Amino acid sequence: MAWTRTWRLPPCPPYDVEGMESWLGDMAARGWMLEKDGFFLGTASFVRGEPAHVRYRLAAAQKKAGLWDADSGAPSREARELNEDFGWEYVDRRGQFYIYRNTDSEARELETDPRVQALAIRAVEKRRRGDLLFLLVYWLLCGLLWFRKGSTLLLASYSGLLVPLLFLLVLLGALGCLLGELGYLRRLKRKLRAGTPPDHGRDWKKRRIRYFGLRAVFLFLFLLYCVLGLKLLNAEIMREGRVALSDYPGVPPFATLRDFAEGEYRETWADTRFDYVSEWSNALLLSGMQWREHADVSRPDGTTLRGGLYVDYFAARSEWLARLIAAEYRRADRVKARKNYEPLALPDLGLEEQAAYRNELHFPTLVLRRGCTVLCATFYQTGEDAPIPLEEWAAILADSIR
Amino acid sequence: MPRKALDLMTESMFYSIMAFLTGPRCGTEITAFVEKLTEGRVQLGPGTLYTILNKFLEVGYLREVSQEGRKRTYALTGEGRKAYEQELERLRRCIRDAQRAASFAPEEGGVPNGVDQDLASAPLPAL
Repeated sequence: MAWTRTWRLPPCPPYDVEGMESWLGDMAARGWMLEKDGFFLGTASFVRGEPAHVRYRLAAAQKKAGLWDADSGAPSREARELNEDFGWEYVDRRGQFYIYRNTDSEARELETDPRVQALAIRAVEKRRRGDLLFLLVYWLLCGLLWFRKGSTLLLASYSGLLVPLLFLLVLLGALGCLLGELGYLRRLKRKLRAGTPPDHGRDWKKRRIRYFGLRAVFLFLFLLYCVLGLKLLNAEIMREGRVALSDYPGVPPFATLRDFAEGEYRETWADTRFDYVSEWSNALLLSGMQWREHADVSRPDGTTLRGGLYVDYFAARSEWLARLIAAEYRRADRVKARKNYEPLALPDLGLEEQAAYRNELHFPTLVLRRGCTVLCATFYQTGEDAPIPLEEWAAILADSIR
Repeated sequence: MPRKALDLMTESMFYSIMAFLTGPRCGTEITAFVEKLTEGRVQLGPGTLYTILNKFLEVGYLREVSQEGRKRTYALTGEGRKAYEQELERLRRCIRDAQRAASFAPEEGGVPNGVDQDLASAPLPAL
């Protein structure tokens, strides 16, 4: 059975006027005609016809296609009908270009003045430069806000370097594509301005391997980023990797509530939503640990220590990294707490770095560093039943990592 | 804010603007006019014409005067006429210069000061 329809990946990007014209013309010569509105999700749909000499031409779109455009960014009725008067049928839009075709080899060309065509290309170039500027400003602002928030290194220390690096690669890839497009449009514009018409029969096969290769790499990186990003999100939502404190077989490398007071220990929730430990390691950390503990400790004297201890523990792969993590942790808390941020006085604990402050919830928080180890702990106490002063629990925690 | 005049006037643009000297016209009338006037030497492609019309509207050389169905009719503005006359004057000067250049032929002893003898005797480029 002969196929009456086929789908192909275009061998050149949407802005490659000469390559697209040449490829579509070659497809027509083999009997495959581009279907009306045949471009969908990066593929082109062709229907079987008689092999014929069909001229395909790309005309610079006069306006940017909006997502909500009722006409999908098609050319104006006036332009379409004017072109139809000369046998040029509008087929589809791809990127910033309208695709027309003409089956009459005697019909006059769509564009007869290269220097006027250069004006139309210049409009597209200007639009794309605006897009590039918008993209740069947008990501620059996002980057600034993100860095100001102080979570970049922290995020990487929790998730590893792969996802942030993939994000950066995808972003750079998108910018690179746009720069490549601008470079091509600039070259084409210069050529047209010099009075040379586009090479409608350019050999599109020459660059297709490079184009497909780059496209495949970009797609792979993008999909990998999506999959890993979703996996991370899923792990967070499903609380993957969390172990109930009662089931944790190891001993944490820092002091916990049991070390704060002696007595009968009772977990408040015994629920992995609130009380858990999770451990990980990645390119930045030899080991990381999140410790969330809510408990009552009934002392022999009848008083009770009641509260919650939240510890983020980082054993970084270098001291330099540990310094950065400690600084980012403090900065992130300061940005989050805004006006609630309040530095607290602390006696010298004999460590390389120490800081104490009230965080966004007004809970006392410690950031301690010794060598490659960073310990960030927030401890809140409820009730007025003999609370432990900050100096005391800070000293216990400091001793535990010394 | 005054609109920026075009820094380019190609032959197609010049003939397109010329088509409006006798009154308002629509797209197909312009192509027919130019083809007839130039006896087929200058043919305007529809894509080229559409770009020219848009550009002229943008810089204020043309204005739309009516729209009947798909047919839009445009007319020349004062700015458009001025631009046409400036280009016409430039071309007239070119012709004058070309004619004067012929009078500088060496056999007539007319090589002006500062003009190289070889350059003066070189054949004129085709217009």
